[in-house]
Amino acid sequence: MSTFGGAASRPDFETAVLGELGLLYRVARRLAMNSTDAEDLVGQTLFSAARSWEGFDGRHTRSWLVTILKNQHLKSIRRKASRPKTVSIDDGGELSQGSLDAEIDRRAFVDDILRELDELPEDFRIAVALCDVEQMSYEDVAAALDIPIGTVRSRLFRGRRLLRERLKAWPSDYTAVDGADGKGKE
Amino acid sequence: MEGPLNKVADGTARGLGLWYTLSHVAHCPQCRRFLESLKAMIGKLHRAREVEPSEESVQRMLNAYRMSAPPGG
Repeated sequence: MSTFGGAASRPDFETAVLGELGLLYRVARRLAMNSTDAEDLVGQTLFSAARSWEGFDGRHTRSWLVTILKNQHLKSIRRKASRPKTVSIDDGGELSQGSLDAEIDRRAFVDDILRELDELPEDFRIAVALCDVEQMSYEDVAAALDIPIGTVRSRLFRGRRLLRERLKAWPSDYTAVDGADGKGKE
Repeated sequence: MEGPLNKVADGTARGLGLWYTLSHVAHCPQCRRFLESLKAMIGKLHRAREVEPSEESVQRMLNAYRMSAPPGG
């Protein structure tokens, strides 16, 4: 959870958001479904956040930024009326020669599981992305999405269930699912 | 049991709920397999957090904000 102790210890806007840029980009990727739109979405989010920065109390910066990101995404959807369904595998950084093979394997794995995650309905996808990928608390996710904690849990658990169903079809060991389903709802 | 097992899998189960669920899992192979597979999946999702935008991507995102931000913003 990102909070500041008070006005005296409050960092400037760019310092505050730089530490959250990776998270914003990853969540934007889950929302926008491609890297170009994700960058645009984060840029719009930063612009909107900067305009609100003076009035922001400095508490729960991460949740505050995710809320703005979500709202910008909704605005973008309304503008476009539809969104692309394709997922690109990119965003390569500089790779050292020695770790190239391992890095390719790791990225392929991550890309594969994220591709399956991207197939989930948006409400479930974002709950899983924030709770399980970004490891935000239920409370922070509830604040970010402006929904009750019970709804966060419900979306998260259903999202995990849907993702497990998708991963079960994989021949690899992405999950250890071996017919251990059949769990009833609470 | 799916809800309690989810809470155990992501570490948010506490107190009596945690104790009850673990006690159940100890005697229920089906729930034990479910919990293990759920933990494995969540652990793999955690790894996706390692994906960071490239330096060029970071600069593009910051530039998009800087070009439209008010002076001193």
